[in-house]
Amino acid sequence: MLNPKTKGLFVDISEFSILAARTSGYKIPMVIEELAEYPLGSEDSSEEIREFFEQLVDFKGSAYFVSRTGVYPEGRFVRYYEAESVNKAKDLKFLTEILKSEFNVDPDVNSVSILDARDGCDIELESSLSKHLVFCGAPIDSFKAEQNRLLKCGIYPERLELSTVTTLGGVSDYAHFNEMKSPILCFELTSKSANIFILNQGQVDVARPVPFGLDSIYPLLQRELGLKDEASARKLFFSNTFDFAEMGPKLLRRMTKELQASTGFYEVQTGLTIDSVFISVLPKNLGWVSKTVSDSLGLEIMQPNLEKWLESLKIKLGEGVEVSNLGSRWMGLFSLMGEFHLREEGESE
Amino acid sequence: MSKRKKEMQPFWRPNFVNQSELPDIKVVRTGFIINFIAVTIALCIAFFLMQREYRSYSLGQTITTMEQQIRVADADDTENLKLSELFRASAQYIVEVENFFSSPLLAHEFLYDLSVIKPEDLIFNSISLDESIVKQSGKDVVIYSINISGDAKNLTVIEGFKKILEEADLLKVVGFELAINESLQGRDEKTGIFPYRLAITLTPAKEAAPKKTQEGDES
Repeated sequence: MLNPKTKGLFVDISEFSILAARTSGYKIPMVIEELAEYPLGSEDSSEEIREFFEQLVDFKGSAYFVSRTGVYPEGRFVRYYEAESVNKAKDLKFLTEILKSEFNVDPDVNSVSILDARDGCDIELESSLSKHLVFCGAPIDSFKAEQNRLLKCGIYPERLELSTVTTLGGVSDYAHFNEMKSPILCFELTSKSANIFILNQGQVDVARPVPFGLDSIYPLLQRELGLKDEASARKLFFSNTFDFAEMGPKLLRRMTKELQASTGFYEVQTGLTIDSVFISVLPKNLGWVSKTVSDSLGLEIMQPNLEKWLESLKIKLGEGVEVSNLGSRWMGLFSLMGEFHLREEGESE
Repeated sequence: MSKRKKEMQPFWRPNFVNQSELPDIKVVRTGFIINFIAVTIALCIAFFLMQREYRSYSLGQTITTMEQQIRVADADDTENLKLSELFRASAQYIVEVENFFSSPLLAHEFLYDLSVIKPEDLIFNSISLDESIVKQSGKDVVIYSINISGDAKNLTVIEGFKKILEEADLLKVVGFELAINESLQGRDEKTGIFPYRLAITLTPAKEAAPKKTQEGDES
């Protein structure tokens, strides 16, 4: 039988890998028909990536396949800001000044979106009643580069989302779904930067950047193992042939200090205790990072039950699709499918 | 970041896609339909305007031609009007002549016959013959009036002349009824003669309808 319905393609592209899902469509309820991963190296051509997508979805001879994508553009930012009053939070001029002065973000060269920190909805400045804001975005050129990269691979991004904040939305929704009362530490670690978030009952309470990432580890690793250069250290870091369990805390000391500073300050300020840590993006072979961080901070690693959570979002798994073994790095991809406002509406009813 | 109202995004999922940089992937391109409709409308309007222009141009040409024809025909028309006026005058003259000859009394013959039957002791001072139109039973009819005035030696001569006139063929006109009224004046004491006036009237005879009435009366 002919199936005239257009399939959906969700893509989450980080610097480590491309995570993709073919679905029955874009409207919920939907069925995830297939999941695929393409680990990214330094020399992947657009043609190879397009071949990967062609194996997953039928392009039907077209140059592009319409998809919904999440990206991690360079220079991205997610910042939490609590205004003095609701009126201040409605003043565009004031918010523009805050962006420039407090967060060093120039709205002229950046794509900026303002969300309500309580539920992640788009802020309508004239009608908003929230003074808890989340500024998110990235330089316009970075988004443009990501968009062009996708188009080169035959992916037509109907939506181009910032995976950092989409994943944060997923974790927030999961906390709602699982009725998690304790604050959650979310940690996004990439090569050049890291982001620390603290979510309390689905609401963003802290969002701060760390100006260094995995790249800061390689010189240390080079010194520790006596390697000839940083490139060799990087290669070894991702090779999955070396057990970093013992050396991990030393390598991540600088990072864990940043995390401890944030969590410690938050716990003292609010009197709340953070129970778990959620680490996104990192590839499978860097699983030791999560363990090291959780051990160092004395927190549990949050391992979401993706299947139940997806079911609650009216997203079913197709035949042969298994998500129980997938790590938290897939949260970003599934968050692209979530219509989180429906849960909020359900709760308010 | 702007104050402009924008499409609301799903929670936690702002869309940063740059639509203007995306390629056109419409399967059925509809852009040409809009162009086609626009061109068709433009052509229709142009055709309509040109048709109107052409019609107004044609009408202008026709008006010029007609005006020229009118100018040319104007002279002929004046000439024809003159001829028509002449014809009307001639026709009226002919009608008058015809009426004259169709009169039951021909003036010259009547005067001659009158002079023949005139007694010797009777003088005519004036004779007039008139015709006039009067209404009779809702119809216009022609009445002939002959007025004779003059002098007579005595009354018997006038009476005799009246009788002669009543019996004379001269005044027996078919379709007319004769009426003779005399009026006498006093005798002129110096001359001993009687001035008189005779009014002879020929009235068209009434139609047969009254006869039936007479028949009815007799019965």
